Amino acid sequence: MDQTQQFGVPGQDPQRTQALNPDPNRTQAFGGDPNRTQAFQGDINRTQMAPEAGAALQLEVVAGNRYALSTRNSREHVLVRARAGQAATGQRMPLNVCLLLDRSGSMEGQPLEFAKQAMSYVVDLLQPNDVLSVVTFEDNVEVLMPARRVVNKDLIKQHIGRIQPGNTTNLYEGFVAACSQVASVPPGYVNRVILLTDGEPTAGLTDFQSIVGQVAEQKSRGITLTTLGFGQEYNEELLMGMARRAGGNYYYIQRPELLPEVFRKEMDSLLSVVARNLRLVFWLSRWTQVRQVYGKQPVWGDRRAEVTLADLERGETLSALAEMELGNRPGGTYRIARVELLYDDALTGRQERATGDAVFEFTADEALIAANRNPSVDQELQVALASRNIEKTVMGMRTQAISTQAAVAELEKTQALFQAQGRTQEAAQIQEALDAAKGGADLGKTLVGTVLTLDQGKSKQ
Amino acid sequence: MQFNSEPTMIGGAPPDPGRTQVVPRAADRTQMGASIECPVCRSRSLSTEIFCSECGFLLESTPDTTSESSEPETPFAVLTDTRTNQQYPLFSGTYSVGRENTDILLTDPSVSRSHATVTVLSGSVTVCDTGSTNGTVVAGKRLQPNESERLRGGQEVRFGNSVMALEIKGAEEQPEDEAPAEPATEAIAAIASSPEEAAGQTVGEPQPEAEAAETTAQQTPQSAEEATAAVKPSDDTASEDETASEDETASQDETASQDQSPPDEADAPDSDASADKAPVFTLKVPEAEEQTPDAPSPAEISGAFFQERDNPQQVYPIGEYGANVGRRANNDIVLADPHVSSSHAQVAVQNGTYILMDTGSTNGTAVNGRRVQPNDPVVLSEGDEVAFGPVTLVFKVKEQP
Repeated sequence: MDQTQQFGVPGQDPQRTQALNPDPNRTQAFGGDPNRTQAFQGDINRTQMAPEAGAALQLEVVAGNRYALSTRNSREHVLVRARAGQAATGQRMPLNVCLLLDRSGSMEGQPLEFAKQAMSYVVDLLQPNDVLSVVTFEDNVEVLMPARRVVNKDLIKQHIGRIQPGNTTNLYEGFVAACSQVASVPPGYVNRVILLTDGEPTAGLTDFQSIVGQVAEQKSRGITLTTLGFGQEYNEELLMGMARRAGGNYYYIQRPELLPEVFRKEMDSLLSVVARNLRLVFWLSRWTQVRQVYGKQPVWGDRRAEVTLADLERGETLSALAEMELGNRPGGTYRIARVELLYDDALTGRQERATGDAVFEFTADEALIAANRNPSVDQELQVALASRNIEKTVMGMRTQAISTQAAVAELEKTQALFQAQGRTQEAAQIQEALDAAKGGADLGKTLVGTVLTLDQGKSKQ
Repeated sequence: MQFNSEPTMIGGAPPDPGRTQVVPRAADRTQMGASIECPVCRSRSLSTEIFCSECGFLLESTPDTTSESSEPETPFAVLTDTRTNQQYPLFSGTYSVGRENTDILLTDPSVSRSHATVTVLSGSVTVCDTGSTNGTVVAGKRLQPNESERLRGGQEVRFGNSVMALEIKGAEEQPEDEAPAEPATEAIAAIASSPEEAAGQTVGEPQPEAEAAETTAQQTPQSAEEATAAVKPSDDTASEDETASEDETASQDETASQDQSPPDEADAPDSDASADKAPVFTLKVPEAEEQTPDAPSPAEISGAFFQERDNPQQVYPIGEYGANVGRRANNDIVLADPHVSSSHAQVAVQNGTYILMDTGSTNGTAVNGRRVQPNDPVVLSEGDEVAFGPVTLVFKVKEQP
């Protein structure tokens, strides 16, 4: 509670976020908070536009083929694209960010110093109506700063500056503490926990399933997580797995001096979120099943299948490719699935919904089917398969099942595919990994990030 | 909430130029509008709908019934993934099960690419393991590669970590009545005339418990759900007991034949998984209770070995040429704890002396509570407690018998 008081400067509305605390300051918070008004008036840093009349995103449903086979079971693809409206800018919703810092012994020295610098930088980027909390973990978890609005930046930075290295890495408890800070704030914010760690979890619950399970649970409450892996010793599978489950980002930070830059990137990404909590539901017609949604883990229900998508950023497109199993039926045109996308508009905070239909014409004419494949869906399928391929290559190299040479050849092929499809970012990431491999370094840390972007279906226009 | 404001594009637009406007559905629902009967599935949809709400057929068109296509029949049985709830209808014939390009596609990393097959034949469902890494378990019995086992309605089958429940929709074990749209049923029925016997034979001697469990399950003639509920717990116990006893025999055989084999070989499925097949995301979760019986007991090992301090049943033979210790599967001693580094330490043998060296692990190695420096060899002696990160093992030397 000491910590709380240090930050609880009267009149600066620290209690607003703690709904459960019956506090005398509360009344003050609504009346005399100078920062509240400030937030809406004097904010020059941000583009201020009236919220767009249109929706935050557009949904597009593309059938992998105009035709499907009517005479027996067949498999076809359905591509769903959620595209952020370019014009979807405006007064953003305030952020509710928790910085979750690993201060285990291995962070001592330069890494910790750069991390502090990066965190101070985040403090600078926040506005007075944003909420920030800071949690550090080693053996124990310390809530350095409970969730509150960013009013006294210097004080916050002073506290960040005092962080000292400790011993082990109790990632699980740290994450739970961070989420409870984020969850203590009433709705109406864009939530995110930003985790920085440099090692494997070594205390508390340390296994993949428990940690990722916890991430999934928090995600279902609307808390997104971004993971920053620093140095060579952290577990990239775990961090990527966490980010994948949470619909956030994953970054590999090779050297400490890159820390501030990566935090800036992440804040950029967070500030440009236009839609959150995206849930894509396939409402299936009779004789239709979803076999798989590439790179995602669907939950099946009665004649429906549902996947979650990552937060959508301005200028970005998220795609999801589903493989459908279609039963035979009398020839004719059918809507095999109604596709519904539910999301929270990050500008208005309202839940919205967009729908589309996946329609195929069922015919017995196989030649017609062969001639009418949709090339853009085929392309997307190649990308999905490339992602699995990269995963296999990384795994193969790690277990020494394939030689570096073979891996390089495999990656070069994948890179060529990305080049051909104009996916320059992924091609560049593979180049980075290839360079690392030639220098004998671990290419897994970069490549799991590529796999994550591909599996999340992210692409920029 | 606006329902039709979003500019939704439809892929592969239906050839239906006549229809231009749609009345918002939600508004329509409250009023009792006229309805149309679908010419394909005969269910009724509101007249404002373009597509049949049941089968998705474009309502204003007419189905083409000239080709030999027809409505699909109802499945004979349905396999349901107990975790994701995904359903796999089974008609007749053989279905491949696995993680890639299979009929029954299971994305769980513990499932092999080609894992097993499920065959529906004359009113019975059989499961056959096709050499999977993490195994196929039916009624508590782990199948040998290429071994088939019958799966009954209400029973569960486990492929790796994916548990599927079978629900029989058609009539089970009644080939004559059943005939699930399969030609030449008599011939097939003749081959598999007695699935009971066939199953019994394959099950064979080694699993009396499993059979007992199965019989109990069958003798409970309750409603379907109750029966399932009753079967599950007994299945589970059977599964554990069974795997345990079976694996024990297996591992005893193995230790007898090759003394130096590290205990991880005994529970090969798991370590193999991380070695060559399991995808990136599998982290080995230590399951002490299940794996314990697999490991050789101290009495069966010759030479030096490590023994887990907190679980003396778990021993790791060092072997005459030493051993590498680490988290990843390519080590001789695999410690599946995430704070053990992938390559953590090594034990070398020189003239009968065992020398331990930390190979630059993250969380360090300590002997009797004293942390050793990386790459600095330390001689081990009987009873030394060696901590690899959080895992503490006791070093033991045993004279050759």
